[in-house]
Amino acid sequence: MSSHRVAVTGLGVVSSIGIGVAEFTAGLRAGRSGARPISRFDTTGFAHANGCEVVDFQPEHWIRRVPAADLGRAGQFSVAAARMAVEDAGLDPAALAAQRGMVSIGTTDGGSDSGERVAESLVRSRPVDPAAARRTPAAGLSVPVARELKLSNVDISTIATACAAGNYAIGAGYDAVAAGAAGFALCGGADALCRMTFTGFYRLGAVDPEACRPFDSDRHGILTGEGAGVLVLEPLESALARGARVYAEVLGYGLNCDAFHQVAPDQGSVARCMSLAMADAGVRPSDVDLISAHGTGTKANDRTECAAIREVFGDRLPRTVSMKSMLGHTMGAASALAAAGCALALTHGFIPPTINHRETDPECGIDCVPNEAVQADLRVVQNNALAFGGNNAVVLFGRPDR
Amino acid sequence: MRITAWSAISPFGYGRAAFLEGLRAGRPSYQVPGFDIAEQLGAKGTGSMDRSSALAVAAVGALLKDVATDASTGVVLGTTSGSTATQFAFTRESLVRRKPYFVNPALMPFALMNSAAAQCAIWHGLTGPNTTVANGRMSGLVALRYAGRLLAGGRASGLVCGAVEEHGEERALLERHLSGAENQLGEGCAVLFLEPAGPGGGLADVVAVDTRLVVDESPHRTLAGCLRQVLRDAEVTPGAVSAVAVSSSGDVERAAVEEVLGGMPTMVDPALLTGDTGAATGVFQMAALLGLAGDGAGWAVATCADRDGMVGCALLRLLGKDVAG
Repeated sequence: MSSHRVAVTGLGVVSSIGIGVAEFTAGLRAGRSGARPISRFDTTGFAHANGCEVVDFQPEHWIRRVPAADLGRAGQFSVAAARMAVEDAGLDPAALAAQRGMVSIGTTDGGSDSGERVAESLVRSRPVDPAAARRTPAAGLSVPVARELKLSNVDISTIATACAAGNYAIGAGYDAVAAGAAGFALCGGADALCRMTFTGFYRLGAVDPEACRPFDSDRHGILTGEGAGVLVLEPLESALARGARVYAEVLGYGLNCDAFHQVAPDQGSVARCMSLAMADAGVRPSDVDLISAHGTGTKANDRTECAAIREVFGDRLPRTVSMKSMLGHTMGAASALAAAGCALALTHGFIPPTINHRETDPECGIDCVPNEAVQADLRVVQNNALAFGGNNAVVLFGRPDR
Repeated sequence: MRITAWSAISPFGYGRAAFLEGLRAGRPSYQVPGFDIAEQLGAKGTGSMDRSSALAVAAVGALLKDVATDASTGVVLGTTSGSTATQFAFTRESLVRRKPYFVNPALMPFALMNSAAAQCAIWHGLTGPNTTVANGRMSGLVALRYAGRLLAGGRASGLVCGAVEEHGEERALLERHLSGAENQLGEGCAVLFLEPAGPGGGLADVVAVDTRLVVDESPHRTLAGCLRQVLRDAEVTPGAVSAVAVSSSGDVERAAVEEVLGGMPTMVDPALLTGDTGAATGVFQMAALLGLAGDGAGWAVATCADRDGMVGCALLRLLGKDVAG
């Protein structure tokens, strides 16, 4: 099996703190907050309903071939982010169409925002909107990416491994490109704000009334968010040969499953996943300069994740930030957006902050780079993702010239 | 990658023999007979469990009786969109209760698409990679190819690889709008056990998988391209393929098979008898090829065409009795 080094050469971003790489980078540097009152669904009856909603998204800017009305909101996000990523990489879709490639999009909810509209029609004895029904299948997040770019010979998957799905998709792209099975991969994650997810987390007491404060003593949970992140992966040698800008190299990744509890993460298993990723990437804990944590801002996640980090890294803890403080928890898009953030951090030499921070919980005990971005010479960055179901995925990125 | 075991819960009943007998008898059946979650799995931990997860947990339980697992055994499971019934039930509760958040919190994880794969891991202690792919009828091929990469990369020692689809009025409603017709729906879960090909025994090798999106060419021409690709990848002549399992009775797959393989191979169409089993279709096709081949070695193909324009196929080398040991 041939083995290529794998480069990240393009980024496409739809987020509540900025659309497109330039705005997203500016948002991460400024510590921008995407939090605002949710408008995507009726929040009557909830005592509080802030979320990180994308408010200025114009699908027609990005989506040219596929009728945008045929797509659910998450599908629009993924198609737009893929189009942006390909343009950002300086690639011509026609040239991509000439080789075998991959499209892999992670998601938690797929087309559930459309599905719950259908469900509501049933409850209220109203006629079902056939278009909403047609937007529900989760394949509608990945297949239209290829359709939009006129890519036929592509391995297409929607990876529905909940809130770690973005990293799962990046791992799938990495394996395909590294093995030479795909000349390129468009991989990442997408999700739209969804009443079901909001309600579920709210009922679990895991939605903060105001802002997401990962690692803070006074944290109260997530804010649900939405968006998409798509990365262009290609072999490093061909990227360099065509003079592409290389944001980062994917060094490797790890996957495992707690096989323990549906919603409570397991410290030992999360630690093992980080170790698997580092072994795959050929790096030691002392090589890691920054951890982009799953960092949801719930009591249990942050405590358990930080304990797992200590288990692996001992006393020498890398700075550990949560981009969810800015972006909210964008579910299947979360680790993809964070991966884009990691690539940008490596390229530009800065650490995105953990905003809304007042006092670090001693039980977390990490330097979360509170509130303001800092300059830093980064060589290796680790991106953590944990999901309900005990599905863990950790990806390591490196500066290509490190 | 080698298929070393398989099992299924199908509209014909429980296990391999029931599935194969049902196919041979040719009597249509559309729902898994008498599948009660608490009866199958016990009352503990199943009170809010969705039907898809329960079907998967039970099918994987049967599969694991025949194989050895370790800490890096994982799960790759296909679905269309998870349990539609559970998702709709959650939304219904939120809309009809006095407060929108008076929902059963235990339902939530079962409403997520990764529930079935995660439940398989939790019930059966499988701590390796645990991945859910959601690609409708293509899920079998997508899961198989994804699983092959995990094994090739040494990320798992072995993988439970399958797909599940549940019967229910909520799914039926969505399907009516998706297909614009009243298709007969079926349900079930079929699972394979995959390991790296080696000197040991097994049932079949998955030699090549190819999938494409219909863009410029017609669907059957695009699928014909996939068929030619897998034959080329494996250096197999068209005439060597002795059996084909199709995903549906439409013209696309038959026309592509006719064009590339000629009219000779035995055709199997499980969905004709089980109804449209959605994401599970592809794995039922492979199960049919494995089971109906009996002791004979040879080449077999499973094809797929989905309504979203995806087509694809897998080429299997059936190992026959000598190798199966």
